[in-house]
Amino acid sequence: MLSWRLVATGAWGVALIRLWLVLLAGQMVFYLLLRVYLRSQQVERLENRWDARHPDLAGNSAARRAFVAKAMAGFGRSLRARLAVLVFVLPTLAVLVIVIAVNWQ
Amino acid sequence: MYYVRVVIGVLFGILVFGLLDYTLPSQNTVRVSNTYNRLTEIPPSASIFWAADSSRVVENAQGQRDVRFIDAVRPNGNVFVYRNEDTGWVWPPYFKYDSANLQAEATNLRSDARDPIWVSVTAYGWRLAWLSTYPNAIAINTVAGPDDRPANWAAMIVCGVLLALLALIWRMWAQFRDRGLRNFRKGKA
Repeated sequence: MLSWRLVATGAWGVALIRLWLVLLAGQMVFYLLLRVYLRSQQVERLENRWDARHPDLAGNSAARRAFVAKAMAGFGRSLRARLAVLVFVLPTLAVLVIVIAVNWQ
Repeated sequence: MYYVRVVIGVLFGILVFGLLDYTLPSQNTVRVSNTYNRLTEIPPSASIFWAADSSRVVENAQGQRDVRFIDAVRPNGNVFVYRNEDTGWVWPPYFKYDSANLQAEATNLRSDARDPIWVSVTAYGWRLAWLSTYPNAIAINTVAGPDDRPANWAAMIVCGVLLALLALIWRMWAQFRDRGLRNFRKGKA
């Protein structure tokens, strides 16, 4: 009865690293999907803008594709694209908030 | 085929509801009547209702775990039993490692029926008597009286965030259905 032991299967630090790896993998997948979505949305917006400006040239054409490609060149530096990086920040922040909220008296 | 889809949909809905009901924090106004440790046999079939081995649990050579318990009484007189275990860095994501402090708080707030101290215990999990499972207590706060039921902000915020995420994923899926990956194929549209 006196032989107490800490269960060794899966140490505490290993669990923390595993949590971090799972979180990182999930964030990377979600970031890629979000990026595809934001770009797709922006392209659609640009196509609609072209069609509104050139009613006679509406629809898919080489000129419209060139316009969209040129306008999309700087999309990576836009606020919307930069805010997508929050995918990597917010979950970690949430974990920190939960740790403090749960373990604070 | 239609009925198969309906049945699968209903089962999925029940599964999601059950998962949220088990995982989200719930609050109950109770009176703490006793706090103690007990050597507990944890059958493998019910181990998902107990803390993971990686959260620094202590067992004896027979494999019995030393678990902290909190006995409580509800305002209507029914009793309720909480366990008090660290969750560590695994599911459910409470990251709790202050169960010793919590046990001390609960012991400090112990009271009897003649001179009750009413507290609001935040916990997750289910009390299933036939499986011997207990909700895991997360926090204890004193309240004004047996009828005082503080708002469960944590669960509301989590539900709000989950709904927002669901709406975003739904929008992303709709955009993909609508346009595919067309702007990722160079030149062709």
